[in-house]
Amino acid sequence: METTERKTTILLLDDEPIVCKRLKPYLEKNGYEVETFTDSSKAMGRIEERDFDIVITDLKMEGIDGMTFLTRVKEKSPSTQVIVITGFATMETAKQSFQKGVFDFVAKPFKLSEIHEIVRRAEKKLRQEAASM
Amino acid sequence: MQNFCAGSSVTGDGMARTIRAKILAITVVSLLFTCMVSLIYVWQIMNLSRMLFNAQRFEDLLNDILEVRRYEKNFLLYGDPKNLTESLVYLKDTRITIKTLAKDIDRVMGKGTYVKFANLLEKYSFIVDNSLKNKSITSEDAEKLRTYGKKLVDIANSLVSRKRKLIRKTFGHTAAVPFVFLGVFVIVATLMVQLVFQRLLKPLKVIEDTIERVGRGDFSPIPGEWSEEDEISRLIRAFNSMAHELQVNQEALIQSRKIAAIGTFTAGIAHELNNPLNNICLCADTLIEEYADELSPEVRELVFDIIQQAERAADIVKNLLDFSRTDRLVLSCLDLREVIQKTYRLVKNQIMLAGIRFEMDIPDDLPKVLGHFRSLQQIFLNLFLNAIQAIESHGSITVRAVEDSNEFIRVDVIDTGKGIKPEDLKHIFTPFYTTKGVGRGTGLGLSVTYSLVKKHGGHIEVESEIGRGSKFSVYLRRCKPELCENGERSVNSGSG
Repeated sequence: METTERKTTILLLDDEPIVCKRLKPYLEKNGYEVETFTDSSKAMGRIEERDFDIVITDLKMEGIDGMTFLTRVKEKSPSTQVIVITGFATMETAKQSFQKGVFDFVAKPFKLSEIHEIVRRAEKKLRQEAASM
Repeated sequence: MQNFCAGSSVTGDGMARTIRAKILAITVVSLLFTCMVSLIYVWQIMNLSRMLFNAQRFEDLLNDILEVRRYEKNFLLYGDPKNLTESLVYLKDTRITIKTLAKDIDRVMGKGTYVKFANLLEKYSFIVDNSLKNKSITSEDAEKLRTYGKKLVDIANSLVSRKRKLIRKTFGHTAAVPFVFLGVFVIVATLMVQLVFQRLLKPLKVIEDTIERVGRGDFSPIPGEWSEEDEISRLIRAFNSMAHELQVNQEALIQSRKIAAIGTFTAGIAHELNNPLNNICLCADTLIEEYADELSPEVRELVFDIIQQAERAADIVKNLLDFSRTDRLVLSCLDLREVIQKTYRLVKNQIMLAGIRFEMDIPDDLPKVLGHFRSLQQIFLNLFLNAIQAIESHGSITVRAVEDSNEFIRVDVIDTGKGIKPEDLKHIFTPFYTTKGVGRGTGLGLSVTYSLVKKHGGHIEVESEIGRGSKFSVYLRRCKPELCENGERSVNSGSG
């Protein structure tokens, strides 16, 4: 159910350019406003400028890593739903992520439809939270 | 001379078989023998000294009789009765002497000799007495006196010579005692040396060689039968069992080190592979999602193949990560029946499709096991999948659980499949070792199972016979309340 008002905004951070190149048009086609970054410091700069509804981030990256990034996102905007995508899913990282308030944790490799499904659930949660406020 | 210590006598059953008992026995026997020989020696010496003393007295006796005869001759030749008085003094002495020597005389010359001797002496004295009274002697009596006198001298002479002979004989015997002693000593010493050499030194040399061999990494046991109860046999049996334990531990250590090293290595590779695999998946997925209508069926098939193969590679990577996972499992008390049933459900369709009979033989009152539910499920899932693949057409898989000991519960997964070749058997837990055809297995299933069982504090064993099937025995720790981390209590009477 698409709203006619403003589109749900998504920030996607992954140092793999292909992930960005594939997910951006796919998610845009499904009605989301998407910004992608392959450099975590640039993404960090961007979230200081504005809040996003949903943030999708990889964990292991050069420079600022995913955990630091999502911690900052949650600090600045607690209502933002964070989805972690990672190539090295261990119980430890999963546990740590959920402690930080991450919405979901997806192991690579994943399918476009999987990501879409999770984004949809995150969106639903956002709406529920907005309604209860 | 050996220094024998007075040992306690050997008592107790079974002790006689030990080397200690043997040495003790030899020592005690030797000691007794030495005592006996020494006593004989002392007795012989004392005997000799008594014999020498008696011989002296025999000689005195002879001399007295010779004196008597000298006075007899003088009297008979010159007729002076004074000679007879002198003769009587000596006769009296002689009588006293033979009385004291009576026993000895009988012993040396035979019974009755003393009486004969005393009678002769009486007769002789009687004639001498008569002659002294009459101051003369008849020619008849003179003849008698001569005969008796001669007989007395003969007896005394043979007494002396026989006694001397006896003394010489006794001397000979006494001289032989040290030689007998020496002979026995040589026998005892030989026995001791033989015993020490055969039962101690030789086996010790074997042990020394074996220890060197073990040091070089060869853990084969000391050859030969060592079923006896002596110290060395017991030592060798203990040593052999130690070598066996060492070998088993060494193998386990090598295996776990190998797995740890490969684990670290594979974790790195697996992680790095996930990103490109993800990219392949995403690209192929996009192709289907976005351009599905423009693609010809052949191209679509190609794209699906790409996705399928990427997923297969992803599965391998997932297995690798499972295998190399080092995080500690949180163990709790689990109902094994439930674990097996839930695992069975995952492969039920596959089992039915392959026409395999599945049997579960788990007693209701089986104690709970200490485990991590999902890991246990993975352990048994891997074993079931292997069993299914091993059974080419129809067959059966049996899961049986028993209490193995106070500490472990053994779960046997038995299949009637094609079995594992003996040369493959020791490699089956090695990562990437697979006997399945290309594309059928990653060669990781059993090594994942192995490392998961290890993380449960248990171990896994395998038996197999070509053409008959295989049996995997998983030993899991029995649940003890203090070992549970989630506080769940284990109750022995099963709750289903």
